[in-house]
Amino acid sequence: MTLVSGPLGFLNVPAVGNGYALLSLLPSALKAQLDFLLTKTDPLFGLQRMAAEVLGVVEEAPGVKSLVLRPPVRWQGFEPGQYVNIELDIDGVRYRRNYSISSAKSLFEREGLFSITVKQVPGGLVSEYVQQHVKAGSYLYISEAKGQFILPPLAASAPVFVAAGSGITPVMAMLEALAEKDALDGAELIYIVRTRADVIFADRLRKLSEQYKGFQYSLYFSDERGRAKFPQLLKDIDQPTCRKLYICGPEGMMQSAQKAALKLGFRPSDIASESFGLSNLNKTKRMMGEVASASSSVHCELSGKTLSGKTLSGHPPQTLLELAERAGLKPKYGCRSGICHECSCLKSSGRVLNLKTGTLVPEEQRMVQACISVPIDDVSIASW
Amino acid sequence: MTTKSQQVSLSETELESFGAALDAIRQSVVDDLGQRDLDHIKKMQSLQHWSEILGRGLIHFSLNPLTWSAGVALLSGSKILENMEIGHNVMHGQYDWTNDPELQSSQYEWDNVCDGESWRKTHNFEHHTYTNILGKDRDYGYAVLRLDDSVSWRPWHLTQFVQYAVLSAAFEWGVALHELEFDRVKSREVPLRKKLPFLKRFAKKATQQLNKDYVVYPILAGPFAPKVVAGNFLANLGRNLWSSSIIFCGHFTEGAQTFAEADCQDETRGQWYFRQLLGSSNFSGGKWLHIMSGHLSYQIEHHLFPDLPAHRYPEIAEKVQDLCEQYDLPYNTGPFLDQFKTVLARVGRYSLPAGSRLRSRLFPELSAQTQAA
Repeated sequence: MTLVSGPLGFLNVPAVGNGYALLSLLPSALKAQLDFLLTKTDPLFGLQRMAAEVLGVVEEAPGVKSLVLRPPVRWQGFEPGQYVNIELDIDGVRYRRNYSISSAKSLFEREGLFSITVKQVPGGLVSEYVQQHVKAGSYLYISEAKGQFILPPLAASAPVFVAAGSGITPVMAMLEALAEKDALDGAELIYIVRTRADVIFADRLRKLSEQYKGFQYSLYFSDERGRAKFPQLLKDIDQPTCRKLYICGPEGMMQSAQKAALKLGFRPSDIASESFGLSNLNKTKRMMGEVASASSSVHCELSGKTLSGKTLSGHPPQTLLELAERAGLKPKYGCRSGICHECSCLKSSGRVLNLKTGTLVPEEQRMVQACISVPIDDVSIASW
Repeated sequence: MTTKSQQVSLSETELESFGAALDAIRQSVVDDLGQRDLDHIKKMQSLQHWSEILGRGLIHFSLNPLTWSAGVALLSGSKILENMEIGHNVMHGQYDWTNDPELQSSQYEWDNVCDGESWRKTHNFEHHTYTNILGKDRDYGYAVLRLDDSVSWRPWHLTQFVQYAVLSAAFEWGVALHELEFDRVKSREVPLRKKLPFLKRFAKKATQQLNKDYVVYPILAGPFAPKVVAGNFLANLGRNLWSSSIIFCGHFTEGAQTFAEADCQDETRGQWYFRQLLGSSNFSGGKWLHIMSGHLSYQIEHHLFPDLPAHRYPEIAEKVQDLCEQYDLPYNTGPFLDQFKTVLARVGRYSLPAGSRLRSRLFPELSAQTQAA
């Protein structure tokens, strides 16, 4: 793959990055215009949002693609194992997803690049869009790297990694980080995939295992050997009491791996896990079925300027506004019939039903009108 | 529901089906929202930025009155575009569905001395919920003008053309101070201390705006500061005159009807739609007249569906007109200047007391001719 850089890419050097600190001193009236001009020149120069350019797309396995990204100079880098929020506009609506960084730290240090790896989830709007429409030259929005699923500052003594499916992505970055420090010997990876074709990063993993003879790497194919049984898979690990264990994969797999690991003697504080909740689709459908007969109580966590730290609870079909008022709060509201948006609040998680349209508000839609929104599961309000 | 100026009425069942039909129109647009709408508003934002940069640039670096005037015109146009097609519409929640933080109604701050929060309360809530209900909709005459005989006549109403001209020229300040309810504070109906939080917000936003146009940009021009101050002042003035004229055409034209509070209690959704239709008026024109008016030229559609992206109103209008024909309801529209003339006539007519001979001679009540389209 040849890497090309965008127009004026040569300006993308740390000295320019530091210049951004000075720009924040400008009066806000000028900043908006400057941000506009900079963004028009190169999206990566924007002051308000961090855009990243897709330099290349690498096919890793059927339905699995890595995007090589060039972040702006002010992006602060990452620790192997961390993830970034990726935002893209699909048919006019902005969606946000989290993806682990799958490239080695050295690629960022040498060339200022990193990659994320996206596996197509059946019916997954964003992963499908990434597979079909994101190409070299596309731009997307990124956040700084986040997450606590990282290696300790001093090389851990022979960590154990258990990854399933696309859960290999943060683990790959961690393994290569260990290799760069010559600390891979003694480490162990158990990688669970459905079929032989589904192995992601097969070449990179093979290279590591050839280079570091002390790195134990085993693959488990669930179509050949059935669902992974962790008590057996993990039982041969030496000295579980003093090793770190990193688990990454779908929620259910992580729970059973963790249970088995605790039984084998891993200390709870030595187990780190990163959830790759696959599809919430079935859960959504189930919830929609339950809406009609919903009688279970819901809780709403509130934060923001005026209502911080408050919790509401009640039974559907009370609206968020009614719940808040019942709890003695006085949130701002206007028409109480979904016209004026005075009661709009920013939802950070959970789902609500829109009384005006009778439809479920998708998880992605964050602004909701409290007077016509009925929470149907536990909801967090980020600002109200 | 009965109306004052014209007897149009629908039965309860008609109102219900009329409301359902409008709900269906709304839903069909909601279902169709997508890239096209995001592209439109982004294009408008882009245009606004370019015209502002070019306008301010010309004002700063102009060498002669001609280029300076072009700069003023561009900056004024940019402010109009930002206030009307972008700010007003974004703050209505028309683009909340995009999840784009720059387009969120509750976060948006516009290039206007009126604080966004205050605007959302007085405009989005009070005006859009109680449209043209006398005594409830404080936008009806802005507590300054007498536009209906329900306000008792006082001699100072004779000069109301002057009040109107002043309000228009300083329109953004009028709008910014709308929440103060000066008349009610003066009559001690509302204690001033209740208005302190508002006054604080007002002072903050006004300072920001004054700083921008009359301190920061002039300082950047160094010795040429005076021509920047003058240019910015004229650009703001132009925007004020334009936006007030557009807005006055929305509810104060001859055919726009008013309502009594008692008639609007426990309204159904159908009745609410019905009142919005009768209380609003459109004007016709080309694409850019619509854009520069923030599509308030489609005031009827805007009042029926305040939170649908405004650039959709032309396509919605066709369906609404069909519906009006079907229910034999008036649909108030006409060329901009014709509509504006009836606004001026209204300002003039009600500057004189009801029943005065002078009034019936100067400003004869227009009958059915402007009512139906």
